[in-house]
Amino acid sequence: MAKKQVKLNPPPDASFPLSSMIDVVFLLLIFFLVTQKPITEEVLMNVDLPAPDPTTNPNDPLTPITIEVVKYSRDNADEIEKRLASLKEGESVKEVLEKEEMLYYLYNSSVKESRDIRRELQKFKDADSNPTIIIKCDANARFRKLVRLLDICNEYGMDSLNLIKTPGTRMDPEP
Amino acid sequence: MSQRNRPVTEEAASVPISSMIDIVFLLIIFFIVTATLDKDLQDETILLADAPNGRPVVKQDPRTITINLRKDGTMNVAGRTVSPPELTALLENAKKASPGDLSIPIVIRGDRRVQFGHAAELMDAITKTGLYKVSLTGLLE
Repeated sequence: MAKKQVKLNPPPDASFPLSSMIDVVFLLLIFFLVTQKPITEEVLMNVDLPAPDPTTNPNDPLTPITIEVVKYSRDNADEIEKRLASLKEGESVKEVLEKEEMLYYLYNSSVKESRDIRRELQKFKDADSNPTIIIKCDANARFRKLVRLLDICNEYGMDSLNLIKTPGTRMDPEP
Repeated sequence: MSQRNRPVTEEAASVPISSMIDIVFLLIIFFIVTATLDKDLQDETILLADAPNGRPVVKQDPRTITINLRKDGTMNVAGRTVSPPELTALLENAKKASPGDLSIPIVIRGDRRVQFGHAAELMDAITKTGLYKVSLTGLLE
């Protein structure tokens, strides 16, 4: 008797449908690549704020340095021009102020540019001294000017920085 | 043995995709993790000022309160716009969470174009609460 030949059905396909999954995965990858933020490293600069105690005097004689960030305005233009004229002979006051974004520093009451501030701070660094620095900032000064000054102080290892608003200054309306 | 009798093996024509999928999944996981990190704390509209000599953030105190100060002087904390009195209340609550400790770090992310007067108002609000550990944020590059 002849053996009856059993005809088996072919086994089902065991493979995983990868192609559509890969499509989705690539779409996700492209999405995240496009929406990814550029990697930027943020840094911190510590400052001390004035104490709530009103008896604290920011003009304490023990404090050797006061740096002011001042806004050039019509109110004090004459005074500033006089000061700058005595500091910068032969150079246009307007040019100097515009170069400094209409802002400048007062270092112990004399007008300075950022490179002069660096020179002064270098002296303290050479003497291995870390004095307290009071920074008075005009209400109209841009934040970047203050950050630049704090950054210069950090560069020379000055870490005792006190920040206050220049008394009596008011914010002008935004142009 | 002659060359002719050797069986001819056919090389598969498919691309080896399994390792490629591994890499793609790793990339996706990386982007998912880094994209959601601190997203609620930082305001992307703020342009920070350059500070090449600042102190890099190595390990941040979990109690740190980050205050974003926009160009127009508005403040926001964790994505919510707050007024100076609201900020004072928020800081008072943070103080209550750790009684007797005034060293809760406060980070001010100020826009480079904002007038300092706005920052001074913000700092006044901080000063009223007695907190003193304040840092300003800049950009290293």
